[in-house]
Amino acid sequence: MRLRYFSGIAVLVALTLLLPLFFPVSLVGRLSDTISRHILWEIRLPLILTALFAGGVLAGGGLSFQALFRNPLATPYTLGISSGAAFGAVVFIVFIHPGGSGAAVPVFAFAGALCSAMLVMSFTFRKRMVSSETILLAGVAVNFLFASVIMFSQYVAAQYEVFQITRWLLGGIGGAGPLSVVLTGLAFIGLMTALLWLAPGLNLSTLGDDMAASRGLDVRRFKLVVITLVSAAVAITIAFTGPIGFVGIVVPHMVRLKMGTAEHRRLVPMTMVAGGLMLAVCDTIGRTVLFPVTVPTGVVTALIGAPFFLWLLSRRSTLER
Amino acid sequence: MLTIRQLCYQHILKSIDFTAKSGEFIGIVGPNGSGKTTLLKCVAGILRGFSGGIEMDGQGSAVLSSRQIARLVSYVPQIVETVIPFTVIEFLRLSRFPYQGMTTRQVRVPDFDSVLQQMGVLHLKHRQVASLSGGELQRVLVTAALAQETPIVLLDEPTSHLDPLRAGEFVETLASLKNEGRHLFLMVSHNAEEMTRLCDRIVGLSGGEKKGEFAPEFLFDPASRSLIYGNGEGGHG
Repeated sequence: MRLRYFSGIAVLVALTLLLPLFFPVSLVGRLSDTISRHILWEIRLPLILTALFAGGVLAGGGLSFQALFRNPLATPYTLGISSGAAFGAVVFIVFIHPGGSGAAVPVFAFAGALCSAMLVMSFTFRKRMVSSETILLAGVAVNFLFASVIMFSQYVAAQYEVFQITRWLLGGIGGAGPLSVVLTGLAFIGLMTALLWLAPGLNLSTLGDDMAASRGLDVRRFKLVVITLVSAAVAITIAFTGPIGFVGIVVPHMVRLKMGTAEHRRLVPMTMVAGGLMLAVCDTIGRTVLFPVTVPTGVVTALIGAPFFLWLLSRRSTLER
Repeated sequence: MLTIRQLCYQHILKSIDFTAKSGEFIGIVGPNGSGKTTLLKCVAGILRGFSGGIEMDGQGSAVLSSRQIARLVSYVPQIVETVIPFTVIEFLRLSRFPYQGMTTRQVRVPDFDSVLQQMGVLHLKHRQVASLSGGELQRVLVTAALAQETPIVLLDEPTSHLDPLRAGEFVETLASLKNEGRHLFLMVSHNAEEMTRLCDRIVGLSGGEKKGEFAPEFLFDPASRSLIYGNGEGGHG
């Protein structure tokens, strides 16, 4: 059983890693040529690896937030981290380096993401007990705050900057390279290790604060640890990918349904691998369907994710009667 | 075993004192809003911002970690508002958290079968908790508390959602647990009959203050009931 499970994952990952060889245009039989080799190794492979790692981090973040807040609608962006990152990117595009190149955008996006996470935590973790509702509402408020600043910036920005902002907000793995592979890879491995270690606490969190506390979980500290870890990992990935939607909310639900368990020691690795596969496949689809034009990854994940999510909601409402 | 000294919590509990020892079954009565559940939550380590002292096994609970408290006290909540997304056996494993630490290694795999048997729910071992009836769920919640292997067990209105027959059977199971004499039970309840069946003594709370300790029979005496519940009973208030 366990062997089948792991070999199944291994085969899927291997197949995904072969995608760059065939899409958007097949390089099979052309690898003797330096340009083709360059395209494969320097462009497509970094892209697919970044997508795998980023998708994994987003799905792992969604899984842990859904357990932590006992809310099926929670995503890694629930606490405002995506609008924080967007705010950082917009500050750079409009105010710091108007109309210039976007090489430093990830740095600013990362800083903005961290700002939003710290803002939410500094307002909610002052008291001894922090209810999930309070944290979620603080996240909503921070989301609105940054969103309004972004809209204001777009209003005053020049046309080309507005285009750049919109393009960033769509989400997509644009400038993938060795740096994005290494950093998102570290975020992926770090988050997977941490979440596996925290899995018993995530299991307890799904019971609610009282039952978790009476079984010995320091609920406040646990929330603080999980939010910090997820925010850090998501901030790193979002800096490179922009706010790609739906991977973080849909993949945990798919994996939970498929595996039929709420045991996080099993859910964490499967969800993170599935999230990576989904993002890698969606990114490949986005690069292939309108080739040579690239459809932003965020659009593809949403096009696939939104209908699924609606179906999930309709299922959920029938379960609730 | 358990000593509570001048326990205050916000404006809900006002200087509660009492002591209890292993093997005892203590009932806690009082009108709605008198602080019964808050008292249990303070003892269970769920609410930690209290003043005064809660001592268990000679240790003050304020200096104990959440996990250390969970090795001494288990808690059966009044209403389970969340859907528990686990099977019964998975749910019981969560009770071992205080002994595992964050690492996933089990120090010792306990025999859940014997506690399941004891609570009469062995046949439900692999069922989803969410699919259980109210009576089954209540038994599984107590089984989980026993699986936590704590000297103190707290029960918050465990029979309030059960029909009279299930409640009666449930009380008999609790009585057999009591006869083992291994635990100290604190139970909140409004049911005078089950309190008389189970309890050695009753602590009366009203408005967050302790009104006294009584024999369980006291609950059938109208004069003494009005001491705790006020004179409003029967619509004369």
